[in-house]
Amino acid sequence: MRFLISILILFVAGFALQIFTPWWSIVILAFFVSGFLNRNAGLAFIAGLIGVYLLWTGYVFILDNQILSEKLAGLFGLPSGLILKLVSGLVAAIPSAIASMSGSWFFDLFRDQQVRPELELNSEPEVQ
Amino acid sequence: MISLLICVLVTLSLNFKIGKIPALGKFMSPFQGSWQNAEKDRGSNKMKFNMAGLKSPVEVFYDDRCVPHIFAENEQDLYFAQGFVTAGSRLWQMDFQSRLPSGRLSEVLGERLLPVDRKMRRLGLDFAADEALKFIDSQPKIKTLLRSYVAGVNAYIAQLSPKDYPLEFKLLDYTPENWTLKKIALLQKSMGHNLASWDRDLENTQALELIGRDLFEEVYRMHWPNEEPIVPDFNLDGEAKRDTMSSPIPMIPKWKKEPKPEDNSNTEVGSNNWAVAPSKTKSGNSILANDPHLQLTLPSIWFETHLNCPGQNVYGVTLPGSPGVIIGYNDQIAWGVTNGERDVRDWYKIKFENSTRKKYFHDNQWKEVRQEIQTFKVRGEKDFVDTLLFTHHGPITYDRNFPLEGAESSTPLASQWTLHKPSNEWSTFYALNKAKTYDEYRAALDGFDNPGQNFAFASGTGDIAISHTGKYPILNADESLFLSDGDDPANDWSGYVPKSENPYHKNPERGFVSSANQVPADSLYPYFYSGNFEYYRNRRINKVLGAAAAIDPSSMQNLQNDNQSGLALEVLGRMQELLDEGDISENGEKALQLLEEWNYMNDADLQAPALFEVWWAHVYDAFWAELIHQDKTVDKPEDHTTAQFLIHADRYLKHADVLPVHEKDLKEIVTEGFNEMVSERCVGDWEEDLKWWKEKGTDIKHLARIEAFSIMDVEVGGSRNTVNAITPVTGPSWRMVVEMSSPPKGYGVYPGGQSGNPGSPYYNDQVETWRKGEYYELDASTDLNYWKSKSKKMQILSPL
Repeated sequence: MRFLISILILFVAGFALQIFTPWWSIVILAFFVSGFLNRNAGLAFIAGLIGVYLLWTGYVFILDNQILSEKLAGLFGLPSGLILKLVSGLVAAIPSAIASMSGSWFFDLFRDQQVRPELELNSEPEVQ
Repeated sequence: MISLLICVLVTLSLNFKIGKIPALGKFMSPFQGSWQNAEKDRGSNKMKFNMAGLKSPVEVFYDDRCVPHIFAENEQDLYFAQGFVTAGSRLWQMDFQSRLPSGRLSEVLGERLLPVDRKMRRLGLDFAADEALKFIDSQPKIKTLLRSYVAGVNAYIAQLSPKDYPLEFKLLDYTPENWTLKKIALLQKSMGHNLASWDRDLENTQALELIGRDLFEEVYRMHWPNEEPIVPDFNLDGEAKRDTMSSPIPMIPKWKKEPKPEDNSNTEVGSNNWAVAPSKTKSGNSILANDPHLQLTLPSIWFETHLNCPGQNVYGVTLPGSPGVIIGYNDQIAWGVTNGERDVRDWYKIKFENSTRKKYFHDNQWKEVRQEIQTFKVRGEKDFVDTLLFTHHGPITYDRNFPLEGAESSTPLASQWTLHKPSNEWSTFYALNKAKTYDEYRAALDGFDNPGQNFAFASGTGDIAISHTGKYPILNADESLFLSDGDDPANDWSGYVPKSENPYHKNPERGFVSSANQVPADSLYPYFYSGNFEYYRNRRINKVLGAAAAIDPSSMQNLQNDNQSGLALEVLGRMQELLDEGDISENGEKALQLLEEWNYMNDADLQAPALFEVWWAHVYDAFWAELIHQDKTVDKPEDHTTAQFLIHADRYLKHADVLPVHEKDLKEIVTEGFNEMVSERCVGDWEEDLKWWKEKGTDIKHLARIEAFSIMDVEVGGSRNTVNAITPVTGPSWRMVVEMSSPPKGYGVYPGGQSGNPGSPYYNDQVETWRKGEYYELDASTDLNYWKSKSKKMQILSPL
């Protein structure tokens, strides 16, 4: 659930944020959102990857006019505009995914301290 | 922590330009990056802008090729809107093209452009732009209009946010700067450099030493018996007015290896224009045609525009970054230009007093050198500082800090160039845009100095004319053709040819005027001149126009697209005669057959022109082998000179020691050349695969040489020796035919598109029409309601 929510937040908040801020703001957003919501670093990585990839790639597909993508594909030596459009989202998605993973580990530092007392409380009745 | 570090590193690396790789994060972002440059037709759209600097509202209508039709209520607003609209389509091009003459390319492209930048400053282009600006101060009317244009460009830039920047700014990761009067002047000087930097002083000096005066005068002669000057019988009655003083020619530094004395890349640049009198046309209206052959680039050199305000309604092509129409027509007159091709630059050897280089010797005294420190910003490096030295001749281009490439010693060389002299060419275009009569046309040309041009003219009242225009120094041959000693005042320019004595004529009996970069006047013209003159195209044009009757715009379009090779027509027969057929392979027989059936047309799909051109290239190289290969610093002789040597070889027998002019030698090089051609080109499926367009390889390259934004190997015919002068890198950059009916009917096309944005459907949409030799009808309607109903996109610019 948290995994899906983090993807959704990245997508929606990312869109709003990106209109007004430089491209790398999405990486910071991923660090906090996906990192905070996903305890599992692997899941955080995937949430960051998918959320940002969908946002960027989706918008690229909306913007493109089939002329620009072909020219840019030539610029990067790619065989077609379609491939470039599919790849271009990775530019933000990969650093965002790494940021999400880092975020997850980072927030773990705080989570551990809060979680341990809870576990102790839970274990007491068992002992009784 | 490590993963955080990696994340920051990856993000940072994507945020900055690394070498040639753009800042990928910024560039690929759909929010701010390149994807924002995908232009879409959004149905009809109307945009309103409120801006300071306007007096009254201006309406701009875009037609289906995205040509702006600008309607203003006064001239200042008209030029303001022209600036605004042009920047909207061509902002990056304007920035980039103004950087070249000002020596500011390394600022955005890095150190590898530094030698180009230094050369531009040392040639004095930036200095010349400053001189022009000082001159404009004395012409308040023109200055006000130039300022309006600048304000319009800057109003456009001011309302851009980074996501709207043209694609190339994002790719090269820099931002647009404000437009200035200086940049307008720089673009003008850049055109001057492109069109009027032809001189061969250093090469000629070298050649003279190598082959002696006798042969020099044959190999590099300007006038030929068959020549057809632009103004055939320009009579200035009176004896030679040229300065006859002649001084010894100084020796120049020896070169060690293949030096490149000057940028000789512009020899292919040329143009055609002509005007036909009512007596020769079907409709009884005069017709004007013009096709300037410039570098084929994307975005195109030209931007089509229709300008209207009370007192003028003018249509044509403009140079992005400069106000007014450069080639076009209004309701009363049409005009077009070709390059004058005259040598207007001379080189002088400078002697310094000592190594401080503070004084130089001239007229038996030591004179002050003006020193100017030049700073170059270099991307990713420290600033580079160079010292520019000025003599009264002009700036010193080559010296110990910037030696002539390949030269053994670094003798200081200064140039004197009409480009450096203060002038105001905009006054000419401003006046032509509004001119109504022949007299106003002639008066408009008064202010035009550089680059020297041939202005053709046709009016609705049936007048036609052509004027060889420009500022031309009075020269003696030796001073003009060779390197001169800078200390002898006899070598200084003694004055300029009065403009009224530049060749021109009006309504000649033959019923047409024409020019194609040939000599302006015959050898009886009293002023000495030299230049890079054309020999074949002009005679083909004159022949077709002379024979034609009932001319209409479509026959003029056909002539602009004419592919007949004057060179082949003249020399192929002689080559076939010299060919030893005993020695030819089976493929050779086939090739010879194709050449025998050939109609001399350099059409795109034919094999014969490819065979001829390759064969000719081999013959040419072999013929000059001794002369050229002995010393590569001499200028390559012209094709037509070479043809004359081949055809009239017996006249040159006294030079048989350095040239293969004996019949036996000629047979050998022609036959060898043929066999080499056959073994190189007549292989495999050559009868299917060999095509002239492939052999030629014409590219329309992006200004920054980005291949993905270029069109490579365009399927076009023509050659430098055909009216349709499409070479691998240059060609008709605008084809225009105007019939001077009332109102005039214009036809035009250029190899590009109105938008400078590679992501726009209008980036190269006209190329295919141009390739096929077809035209668009030009529409200079003054009816606002017509434009309101017709155009899908319009802009309203209103005062604040």
